[in-house]
This record gives sequence, C-alpha cells and structure tokens, in this order.
Amino acid sequence: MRFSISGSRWLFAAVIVILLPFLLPGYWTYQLSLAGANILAALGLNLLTGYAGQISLGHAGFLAIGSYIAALMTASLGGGWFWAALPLAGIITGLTGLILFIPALRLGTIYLAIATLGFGAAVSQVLIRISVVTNTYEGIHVPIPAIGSIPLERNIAMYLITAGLVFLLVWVAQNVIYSKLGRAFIAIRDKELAAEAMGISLPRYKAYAFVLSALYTGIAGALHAHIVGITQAEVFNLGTSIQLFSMIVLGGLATLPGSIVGALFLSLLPELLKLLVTSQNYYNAIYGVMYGGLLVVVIIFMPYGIWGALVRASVRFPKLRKFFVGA
Amino acid sequence: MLIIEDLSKQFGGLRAVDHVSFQVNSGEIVGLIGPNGAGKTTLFNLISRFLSPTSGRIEFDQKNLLEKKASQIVQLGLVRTFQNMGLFPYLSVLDNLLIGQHPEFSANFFQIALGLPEARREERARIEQAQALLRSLRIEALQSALVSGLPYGTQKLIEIARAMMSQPKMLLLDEPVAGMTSAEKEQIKKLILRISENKNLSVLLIDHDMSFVMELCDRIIVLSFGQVLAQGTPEEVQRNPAVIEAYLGEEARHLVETGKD
Amino acid sequence: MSEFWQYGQYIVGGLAAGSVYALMALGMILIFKTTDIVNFAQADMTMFSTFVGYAVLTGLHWPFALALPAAILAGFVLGIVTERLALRPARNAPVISLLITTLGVALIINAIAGFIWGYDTKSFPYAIGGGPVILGEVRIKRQDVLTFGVALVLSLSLFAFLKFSRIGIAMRATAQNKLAAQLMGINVHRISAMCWGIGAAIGAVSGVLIAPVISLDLNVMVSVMLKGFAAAVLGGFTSLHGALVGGVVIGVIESLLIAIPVDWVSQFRETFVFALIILVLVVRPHGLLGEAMHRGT
Repeated sequence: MRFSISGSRWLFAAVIVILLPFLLPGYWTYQLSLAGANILAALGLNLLTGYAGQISLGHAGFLAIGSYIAALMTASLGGGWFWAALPLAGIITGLTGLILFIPALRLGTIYLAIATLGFGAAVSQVLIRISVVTNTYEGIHVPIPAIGSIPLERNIAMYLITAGLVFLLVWVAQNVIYSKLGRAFIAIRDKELAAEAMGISLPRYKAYAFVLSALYTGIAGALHAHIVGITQAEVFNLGTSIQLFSMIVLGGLATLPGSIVGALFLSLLPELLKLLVTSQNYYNAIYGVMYGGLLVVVIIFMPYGIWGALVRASVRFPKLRKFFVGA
Repeated sequence: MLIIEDLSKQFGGLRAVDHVSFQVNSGEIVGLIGPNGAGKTTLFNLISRFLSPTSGRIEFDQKNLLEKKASQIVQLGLVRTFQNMGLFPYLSVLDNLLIGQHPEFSANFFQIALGLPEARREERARIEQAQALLRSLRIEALQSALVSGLPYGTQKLIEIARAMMSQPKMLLLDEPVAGMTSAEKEQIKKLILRISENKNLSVLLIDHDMSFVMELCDRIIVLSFGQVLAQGTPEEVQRNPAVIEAYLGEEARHLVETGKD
Repeated sequence: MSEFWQYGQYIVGGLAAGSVYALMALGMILIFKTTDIVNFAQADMTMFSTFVGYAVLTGLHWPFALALPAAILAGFVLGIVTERLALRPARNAPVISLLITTLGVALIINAIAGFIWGYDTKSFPYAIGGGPVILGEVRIKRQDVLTFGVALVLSLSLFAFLKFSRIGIAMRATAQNKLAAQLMGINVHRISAMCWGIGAAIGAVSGVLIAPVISLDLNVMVSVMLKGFAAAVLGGFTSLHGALVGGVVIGVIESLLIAIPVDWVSQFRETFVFALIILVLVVRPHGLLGEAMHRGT
C-alpha cells in the first residue's frame, strides 16, 4: 500500500519536531539529531537496496566520504562554510556512488553484496591511512557551524538543521518513489529483463539509484560529523554498514516510513536500554543479548519489518487504514 | 513491418535458429508454432534483442534492429510479453501500466525529485490514460490491486494491456494464453482481434494451443529444429505433410497423405 | 636463502592460513547451499567454540585431543540451536530478513562470550610444539602441518560424507530442490538443522587451528570469516570444491603480499584481497568453479 504524507500531517509532524528540543534534556536532542542523520542514511540505503534491489553492505563507506569531505572543509575554512560544505559533501559522495555502479551492472546479487563489502572495507582503510599520514589519527575536530563568523549553539542548531533536511529529503524521496523513477527501480529489482523490455535502460537507472543513494548517505555523514564534533575513520566500519542494513530491514524494505521507523528504532534503542540496565558490569552482555534478541524476535514476528507489519495489520483493522492513502 | 532475413543463432554446437527468413506485414496476425525446443523463444529473444544473432538481419519498420539494445526497441514501437509473466508482481496494476509508457515520460530526474509542476502534470495525465485503458477493458476496479494477488488469466490480460500502453506498431506475444480456460482464451482472442483491427497493429505470437492459433492468425510459420518448416495460411499449414510429421510423427503423415481427398 | 626457497617459504606459510579460510568457506557454503542463508554469525560461533576449546585446554588442563572435540561439539550445538530457535520460526521471512536474524544471533553469542570470558585477548596454546619441520630450505611450523593435515582430512571426510552417506545424500537433495526432497520423504527441517550444526562445527575446527597464530578475543574471528567469505566467492559461491581452491589461493596471496617490500602494500593487505575478489567477480562472476548464470534465454 502506498503511504503518502499529506500536507496536514507534514505540518503536524513539523510542529512536534520543532518543539522537542525545548522539552527534552540536551542529551536527547543530541541523540535525536544522530537518529535524524541515520534516517537519511537509511533512506539512502533503502532507495538502493529496498527499491532498486542493489544490495550494499558497505554503505558506511559513503558515510565516511561525506563525513570527511564536510569535516575537512569546515575544519580548514571555518564553521561559516558549513552551508557550502554540506551540499558539496553530498554531491561529491553522490558521484562516488558511480564507483559501485560498475560492478552492479555485471554482478548478481550475492556477488554485488561482496563487492560492496569490499568497497566499505577499502574506503575505511584508505581513510585510516590518510589519517595516519596527515596525523589526524585522533580524528578531525569539526568546528561548530556558524552564520558568517557567529557560531551557533551546536546541539540545537544541528538538531534543527538535521530535522529540516530530514523533512526535505523525505519529501524528495517521496517524489522519486511515486514517479517513473521509483517504478523503474522496482521493475529493475523484480525483473531486470522485463524492465529492459519496457524500455528501462539498466545502466541509466542503476546509476541514478547509486548516485541518489550515495548522495543521501553522504549528507548523513556530513551531518554526523558536525553533530558529534569530530570525525574518525574507525567509526565507519563494517558494523556501521550492517547497522544501516538492519535499520531498513527491521523498518521495512522498500517502504518510506520503514526507513524512518527503523532508523529511529535502532538509534534510540541503545539509549533506552541504557536507562533500563543500570549495573555497568553486566551492561555489555545484557545489551548485546537484548539487542541481538530483538533483531531475531522482530524478524520472526514481523518478517517484513515493523512498517510491513503495520501495513498488514491495517488490512485487518480498518481503523488503521486512515494512515494510508490509496494509489 | 518486420523482416527476418536468414537469421541464425548458434550456441556452441547447437543451431537454435537456423537460417530463418520470414516477414510480418502491417496489420497481420502471424502465429509461430513448432514443437518444444524448435527455437521459437530464441527467435523472440533475438527480435527483442536479448540475444545477438550469429548471422542474418532483422529489420523493423525499415530500421535495422540489430543496431538497437533491448531497452531501445519499445521506442521503435515493438513490445514483447513474456512466457512466464513479465508483470512486476509487487507493483499495482496501474503502476504496471504506467511502466508500459515508460519511454514516453519526458520529465527528467530533477523535475521529478523536486516535484516540479511539469512532472506532476505529466504523471497525472498518464495515470488518466492508463485508467482509460483499464476502463475500456472493464477492469478499472483493479487499478490499485497488487498484481501478485490477481488470478493468472487476469494477469495475462493486463500484460497485454500494458503492452498496448506505448501504442506500439507490433506486439510479440510469448504464449499469451498458456494455462488459461477456454473462456479466458476466447476473451484474449477477441481482444487481440479488436486491437489489431482498430490500430492496424501487427502481431507475432507463439503458442501451443493449435485451435487458438489457427482461429486467430492470418498466417502461420512452423519452426522445427531451428528451421522454418512451412509458412502459409492456417489451412495450408494444417495440410502440410512435413508439419504433420514434425508434430505427430511419420505414420500420421502417411495416414493423412493416403487419406487426402 | 635463495629466491626460490624464499617464495616457497611464503607459499607454505600461506597454505596453512589458506586451509583455515577454506574450512570457514566450506562451513558457510554448506549452510548456504542447503538453506539459502549466508551465516553472518559464523565468526561468532567459531569464536565461541574456540573459547570452549580454550577453556578445556587452560581451565581443565585437558589435552588438545579432548579440547578439539569439545570445540566441535560447541559449534555443532550452536548451529543447531540457531536453526531451531532463530531461523525455523522465521522461515516465511524473505531471505534478506534472515540475514538480519543471523546478525542478531551473532550479537547474542558475542555478548554471552564476553560475559563468560571477558574482553581481553587470550593467548591460545599451540597444539603441537617443537621445532619446525624442514623441507629443503623451507621451515614449516609443526602447527601449520597439523592445520593443513586436519583441514585436508576434514574436507575429504565431508566430501565422502556428502557423497556416500544417506544423510549426506539427503543434504545434497535438499540443496538442489527443497520441495522435491520433502516430497521424497526427507525431513527437510532436520537436514537443515544438521547442516547448520556441521557448518558451525567446521568453523569451530578452523578457529581452534588458527587461534594460536592470531590469539583469541571476541572479534578476532571476524576477519577470518571475511576471508573465508572471500574464498567462497572466489571459488564460486555454490561450489564446495571451489571453497578449497579459493581458500588456498587467498592464503597464499595474502602470504606473498607480506613479501612485497613496499610499506603500504602490506598495510593494505585486506583491501588488496578484497580488490582481487572484486576483480575476479567483474571478469568472471561465477568464480573459479561456480555455476555460471546466463541472462536471457
């Protein structure tokens, strides 16, 4: 079923989102900002994997590239350049998406997954190497975004910027999905040959998918760097790629709200768990078991993700249907 | 409209298509029949450019088809359906039809992504077009249904409808009535006749249901072991001894020959 | 030492590591062929089983001959439990979701292992001590000989098992066509469970063999799994024989890359191995021995 976010709901969500940082302690604002960046990265990955069917297990590589480009710009030129650094990071990362596009044309699913794994590992290694050479192994310190030369308050500013970008890019994603682009992606995912027979050029649309996905993820990386205040290559490792992947599967593949739900769920969950588990000794073990157990259990009871389960439930409970708009 | 000239396709030692030549003229409905493994699907794959021939020519609407890639033939007016269903199962009926017009959409990436009015307008217009087609087939109510949930016969019907969306000059139908009931086959037969007449559409179809093919087609081409065994009107082909032998064996041919009036 | 023997030294060293990667690959491919799932928990299952072996060796002070079976048993149990409790209830989920399930299982196993054995690196005792075996001018560690030997015996046994035993044949049938196998009366669920058990058990063996060389902590087996993965891919992901070839090739190449005196090359070893894999895939997508997949027709 199709979920179109209508005007009034946008407004409603926007109001809540803007009010939140003033109601919550600063720590949660920070966590929500990170969650927001994750939403963008998850959206990017979902566009590529969920909609276009191109598996990527190395998406942390794009996060890293976006993060480093933006960080290098503001670190060397000043916080006032944030507004240029962000889109630039997105665009350049988008173009690097074309690197993966070439193996995607030739390889089947499993093999493409391996290739993307290699990509993620390669980016990570290259960046670590660069950081050793430039003596920034401890990480690049990222200045606070500024307007002109006036620095903003990092926490709240980044929250609002991230929220704004999330709204914007979700809207863009919605435009893309419910158009010939989105249909072409799904066609390629499900039956490449039939897609070609319908006039969809595989190279062109796969390229779109990779570039768009990398763009979103690059922006997410750039945001991440400025939310946290520092960027380090080790952070963007296989575990991160896998976490992104989990977000879209848990949330619901090929569903827009699924990316949002999945990202929020897996970003905020650790924090919630921390509230539950007080004793430091057992924290790691209990956290690991709960987190892993949650993944296993969700897949058992919601094989199509959380949003997928909601959609299915709405078929049986018509009251939920008002959340959905028909095609 | 379609000219196949001396077309051959070799896979290693196997001649799947062996010096095949025939034509399909404007407005004609031509049936391609033959025992399993005769090379019919390979021929279709060659025409729709999923394969490249070892030798020979394919000309469509006076253009050399061999210069084109598979994703380019729709724009020339040639559309194909698939034996095991070319519809996209997790898209709605409407979305599938819209894909049928994919090359017609002129909005570019940025116009779509930014939700610009031109893109939205075009999308709405095409949706209306698709809905009109569904209405003419009396299945407008199904437009939002996911294809995977529909009965098989309906899916096949929709696949043909989708092929019509790009207003093609010729249809390649790969077993359009396989697995259907007689009533459904009748419906498809009438549909094909209707669209062929109205739009002067050429049709080349493969099928194994002999009565369907004989009743529908203006001409028939019989393929066996990659070669053209016979060509002609349904009556001519039915009486052709070589054809009978290919299908039913030598004794049947003998029977028919001696029993002929 | 002359050039020739020097390279020989590296190659031989690579063979031992390669055997370990090959075993990892074998385990993962066995699971993949029968249940269509890539076991991302292989590293953690291996790690856990190796820790069990470690506990037997250093905790109970029992000999290696008992530690190895203990590890194998642990692996076997982990595999079967995973299949029964995590995968079978979710069998209606799309394959992509099941990858997440294996990740979840990996996290759980990792957390429990951390709880039991802690987070510091342990040094794993060698199974065979003593001086190196000398062939010509090449010195081979005894452990390496053992590793290679065990790997060889294990893979040959596995192949024989699959080819000649009833359960092995049932496994192959299930791998080829699950539905048909069910229709022929094969209990597909039990076969899947067994495959998971055996796959994890093979991983356990590889872990115990390589632990003395790379030490043992919670995450050390991840890179071994990745290389096993690469070996599987190189050999063609569905070919068991390919796994052996792939493992050996990767082990030897990795070893030879150490030999190159350029500094950054050895640092980038892992990337090189991956780059090699990607290159192979672009040129020959079905790997060295896998089944080719054709477009069209």
